[in-house]
Amino acid sequence: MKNNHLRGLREVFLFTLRETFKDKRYRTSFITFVIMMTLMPVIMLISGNAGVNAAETTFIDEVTPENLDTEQLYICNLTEVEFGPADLPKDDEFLPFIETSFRDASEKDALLEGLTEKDLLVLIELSESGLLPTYDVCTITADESEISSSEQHTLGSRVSAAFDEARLGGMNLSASAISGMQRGVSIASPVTEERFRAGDEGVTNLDMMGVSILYAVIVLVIVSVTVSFIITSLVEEKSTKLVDMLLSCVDPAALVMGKIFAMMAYVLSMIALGGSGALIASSIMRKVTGSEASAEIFSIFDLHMFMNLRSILAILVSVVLTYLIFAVMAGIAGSACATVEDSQSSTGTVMMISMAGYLIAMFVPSITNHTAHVVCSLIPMISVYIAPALYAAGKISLIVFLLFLAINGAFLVLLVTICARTYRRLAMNDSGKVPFREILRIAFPKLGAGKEAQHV
Amino acid sequence: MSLLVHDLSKKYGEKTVVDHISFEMPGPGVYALLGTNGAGKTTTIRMMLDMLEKDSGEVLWQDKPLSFTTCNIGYLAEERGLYPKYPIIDQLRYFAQLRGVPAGEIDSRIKMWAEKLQVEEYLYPEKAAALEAEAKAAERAARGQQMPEAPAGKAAAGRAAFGGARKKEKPRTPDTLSKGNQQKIQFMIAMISDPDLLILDEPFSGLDPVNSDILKKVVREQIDAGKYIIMSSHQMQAVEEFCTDITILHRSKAVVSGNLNDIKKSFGRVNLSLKVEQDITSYVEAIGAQILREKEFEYDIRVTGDDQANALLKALISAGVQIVRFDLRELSLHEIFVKEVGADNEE
Repeated sequence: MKNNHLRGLREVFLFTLRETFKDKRYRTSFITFVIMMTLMPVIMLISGNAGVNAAETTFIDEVTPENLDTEQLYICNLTEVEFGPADLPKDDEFLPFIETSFRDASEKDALLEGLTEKDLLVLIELSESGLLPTYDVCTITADESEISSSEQHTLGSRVSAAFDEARLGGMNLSASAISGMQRGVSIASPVTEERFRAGDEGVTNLDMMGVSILYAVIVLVIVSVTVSFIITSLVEEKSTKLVDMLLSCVDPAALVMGKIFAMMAYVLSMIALGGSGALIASSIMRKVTGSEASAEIFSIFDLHMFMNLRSILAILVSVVLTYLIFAVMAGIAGSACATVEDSQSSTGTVMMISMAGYLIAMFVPSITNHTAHVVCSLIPMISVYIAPALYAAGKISLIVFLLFLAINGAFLVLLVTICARTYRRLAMNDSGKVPFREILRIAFPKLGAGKEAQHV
Repeated sequence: MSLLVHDLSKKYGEKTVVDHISFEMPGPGVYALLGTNGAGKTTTIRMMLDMLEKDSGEVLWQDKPLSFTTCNIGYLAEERGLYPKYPIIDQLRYFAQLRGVPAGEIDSRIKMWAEKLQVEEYLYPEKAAALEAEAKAAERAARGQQMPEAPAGKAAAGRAAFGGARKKEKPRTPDTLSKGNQQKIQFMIAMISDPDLLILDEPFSGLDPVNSDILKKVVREQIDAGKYIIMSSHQMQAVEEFCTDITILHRSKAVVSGNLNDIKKSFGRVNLSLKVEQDITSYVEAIGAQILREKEFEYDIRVTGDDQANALLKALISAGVQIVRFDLRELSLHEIFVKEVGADNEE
């Protein structure tokens, strides 16, 4: 048996979608978004290369053995590590051209006071000011010195490398072991035994942040494009009195849901096309440029670790759920408005709620506490920005993710109920904006008698 | 088939806007809902169409609750509205689909109604262009000018072959139409599904006499086709022309309800229009009647009924007064309306 409440849904959906694409503003937004997304890899490559080139030409002077300004290099080792002239590389391209002198720690102050404009002092000391003690290699010149910072950096790094060799070389370790010791120890993301065996060793916090922000931005784009349209569309039908004609042949629920689904089709097709364009363009640019630099620039699109069926399904379901939650909220806000002026403040309110979720989503991935991840994944509206990325990154379990879907699904049902009841009652309202508490009273009459349309 | 409206009531807070309204249409015809502004006509209609929740009462069509799923309803709302920026033709197709018109019939029905309501030029841009060209040609002919020579070249010849159209005309949107034409488009929307029940809320307001006549003609056709029509209007003359039954609402209550002829009879024949060739004031005063208007021996007199009118006629004949016209009439709908609600109409 055909559901009478949905009679007209298909027609409203098709009409709204068709007219949205016919509308110059929405057509322009759609095309602009897709083009911008597609061109983004090109823009990033150009701006990335341009940035590197600009930095090189502006700040980095080319340092060659022939144009060195340094004539005297003093190395003052304040550490317990034994480091002397024998530790300096004999085949270095710079050091053999400079007079090099090792000095004791006791001479430090005298050296500092006596530096001339052609002198460079390299001071090596153990610093304990940070979280962990580290060896600092500091290059110092006289105030009037013309030795460039590039030259200081070049010579300092060579002394630094020689010092590292000296402190670790005596341990009879392989080159890779020495490299590992130099880089220190990092803590890997926690994973289950099953995922560890499968070679899936988790996602770093940095990757997590990237994906989370990307997902939150996509959700924010969807919400910001659609909320305004839905509210404006509902209010326009009220303010033009078209709603009278519409409700004589279509159920209010079908009218609202038809618009919501049409906008979902519009915005999802926009993101799908834009995303596909960006991926295609990024892979083309990688092949065309082929350089390490461009690979690094495009690393933001390197989402291969999330490109599995489980993550894609989770993200798709979540995007649809998130869209529906905010779209139905927009439906409720639109029901409460009587004029175009009202719709502006209502759009602002829904956008504020959406922005709050977005801002929280910016911070949650940086928290390493698992309990915090689980709690944030279960709070309606906020979780829609966070949980899908956390799940895709393996930070929350399938059960928590299913709970997230269930809680937000229930929240959506509650919103749809409120929307259906309020739109039906307030469709004829032209007596000003209805406050939120009145909306609740209309949706749940047991809370008290609701205000209704005053138009007679 | 029948339409039954039983005990409809609606309150907003403490204010009663419709107070236990009931009426019935046992067969096809026109039922008029009359009343002053704010009397509750539109609210009654909205409750009938299930757009507003009823506090009490029911509306039955063939013994089933009336809704767009149980009855093919055409509705012209009091407050006109169309999407201002969407093409008119798209909106007509949209409403035809919503009203369940078979896809294959939509365009032919739109064309038929566009012809009938004389709005083709707003729906079909090429028609508008052709009309414009015709008008220009007629204007030139009237001024005795020759037609300009056809432009040279293949492209120009091609354009000429297609009626001289240089580019595709953009479809018209409602914001480019006059209020009256927008109203005719909305009337088309109401009629597009060939409804069994037609509800027209103030159908003639804002229309010029020509367009008003076009709509009246359509209403007459619908009456002849055996449709149920509910009409709400302030224009008593227009309503009186069509309706068989009425309900007059005043301050949310039905103050008069029933068959129009019966209602008129209940008020009696009290309007006497008399044309004579001398002053008859003394005769009128002698029988206790009231002269409402007098101009050059033409009198509008309010009598108490047939007996008083006959008494006056006898007196005039006995006195040898030359009577040119003697017309004893019932109250008009307008007079009944004013009599019932006019005295304390402050809304």
